Amino acid sequence: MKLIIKKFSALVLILLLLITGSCNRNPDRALVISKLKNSAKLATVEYVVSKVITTRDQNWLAKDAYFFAETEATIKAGIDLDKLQEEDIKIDGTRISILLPPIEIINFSYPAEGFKVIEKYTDQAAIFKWNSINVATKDDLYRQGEADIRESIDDLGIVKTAQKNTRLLLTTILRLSGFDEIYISFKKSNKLNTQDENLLKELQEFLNRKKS
Amino acid sequence: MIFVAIFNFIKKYWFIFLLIIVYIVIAGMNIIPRSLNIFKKKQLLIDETPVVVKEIREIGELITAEFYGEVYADLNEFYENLIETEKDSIYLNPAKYYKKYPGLREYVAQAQDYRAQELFFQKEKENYELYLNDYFQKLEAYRQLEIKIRKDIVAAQSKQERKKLEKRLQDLRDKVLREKENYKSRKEKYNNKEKDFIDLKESFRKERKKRNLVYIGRGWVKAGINLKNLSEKEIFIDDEDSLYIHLLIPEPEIIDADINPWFIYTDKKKIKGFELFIAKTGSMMAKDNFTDAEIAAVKHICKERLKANALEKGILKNAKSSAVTTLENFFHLLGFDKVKINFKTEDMEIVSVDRDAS
Repeated sequence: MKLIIKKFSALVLILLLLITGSCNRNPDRALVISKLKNSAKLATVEYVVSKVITTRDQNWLAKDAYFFAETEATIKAGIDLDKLQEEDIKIDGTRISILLPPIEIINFSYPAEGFKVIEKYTDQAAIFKWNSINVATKDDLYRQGEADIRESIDDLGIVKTAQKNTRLLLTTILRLSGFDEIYISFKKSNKLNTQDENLLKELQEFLNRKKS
Repeated sequence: MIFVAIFNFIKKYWFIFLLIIVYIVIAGMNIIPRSLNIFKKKQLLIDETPVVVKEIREIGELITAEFYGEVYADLNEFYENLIETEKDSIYLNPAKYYKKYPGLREYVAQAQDYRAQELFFQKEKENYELYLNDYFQKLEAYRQLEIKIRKDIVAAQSKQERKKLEKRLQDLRDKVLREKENYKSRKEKYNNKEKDFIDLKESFRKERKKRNLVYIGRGWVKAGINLKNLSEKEIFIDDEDSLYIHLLIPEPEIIDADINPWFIYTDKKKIKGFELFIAKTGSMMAKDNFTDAEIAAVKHICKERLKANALEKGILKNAKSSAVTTLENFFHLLGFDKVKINFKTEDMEIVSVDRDAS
């Protein structure tokens, strides 16, 4: 009897350890700067992309859970006019040549309104709610979806299209402004950042201040 | 020989083997949470699917103001708004709404009773406040009258007259006492009603806490102007001065308002856009989970609230002044000395912003 009690206590201890180990750390509280700021970003192309999010939660002895959703993201690209310097523009009468800042992502939108769960291919329910594809799990799936889309932006050809459209738009504006001979080129950038650079800079400064 | 050894080993540690079998069975039946199930990955992963370009649009949006913020919203707020805005439709076709929003039926039942009591209490409160106002006015009038009678008593010429005045004073005091008693009883009644209403409010809130979904949303709102399809009507050089350019541009508007699954997603830092704060269904069963419509509704409120916050902070005003500065700077870089920027208003009346080049 004593032995059984001992074993049972050991089991309870192991379970407790498992539970404490699996408890999630409090989510990282946002460092959101609630503020209004000026910008000068010219978006010249908008890509509407879709991604199907599918997943299966397989079980040996219970029914599997399925999730199938069509999602849509809108990505805008263009240039930051604040980065345009005086030395980037050369004017000679009605002839102008401009070296524009590199193309960057101006806005990335992956709205909840664009998530459409296809019910006929979806079976989210398990017996208990903690094992079903619940709200938290779905949010996590959408986050993975967003990460996938962000990672593949570079392969969509958005930079070239944005360059083409920016050229077209600025050529129109420059012609209307009296220039006849227009040359437009772009500065090169190493990596296409999918996040607002200024926001990241502010965030980094905030983190640095917090550290010091 | 080896089988005997295995048998003896199992016989000796049968308890552990039993536990392992039980664990495998309940894990296989998907009863224990994913985090405790060693046969499953900690996180449910999505399958690899391609990102398909559906549409490419040519645009010309100049973003001149941005707002970053954090908001929150919950499902009860959505139900409250829905009952207000779609009351008749819910009444006509409740089944459609209850299927989409399973918590709505219970909310309607509880809220109806609570709202009726709330209205009743509001009326009661108004009446009590009127009564209080009246009561204190009366008390003041009695006080003034008492002072006057006392003066009259002192100045009375005859004993008879004094007695008459003293009797009046006594009557007045009795009247004040009666008023005070009335006041006490009215106050007590009101306090009881107030307590009942507060209890009801608490109980309503407690009930609503049993099934609720709360999201914290972090995102941005961007405003600016549309520069697409500009023609010689919108950009032209002054007839008399070749270094003077005129621009006619649309009024700024909200161009983007987004709360994405990720607010910040970089290799170094990741911050959630929508963060689930509470998801309580009041049941352990998966069938009672929130529907996708309920989730989308709460997220939609967050987004609308973020937009409202940006407008309240004056994003459009900022966008307008920033647009003027941006375009002035740009055209100055193109060699123009003077830039005149006009905004197209809704009725196409021109609003001029005239700032000479410094």
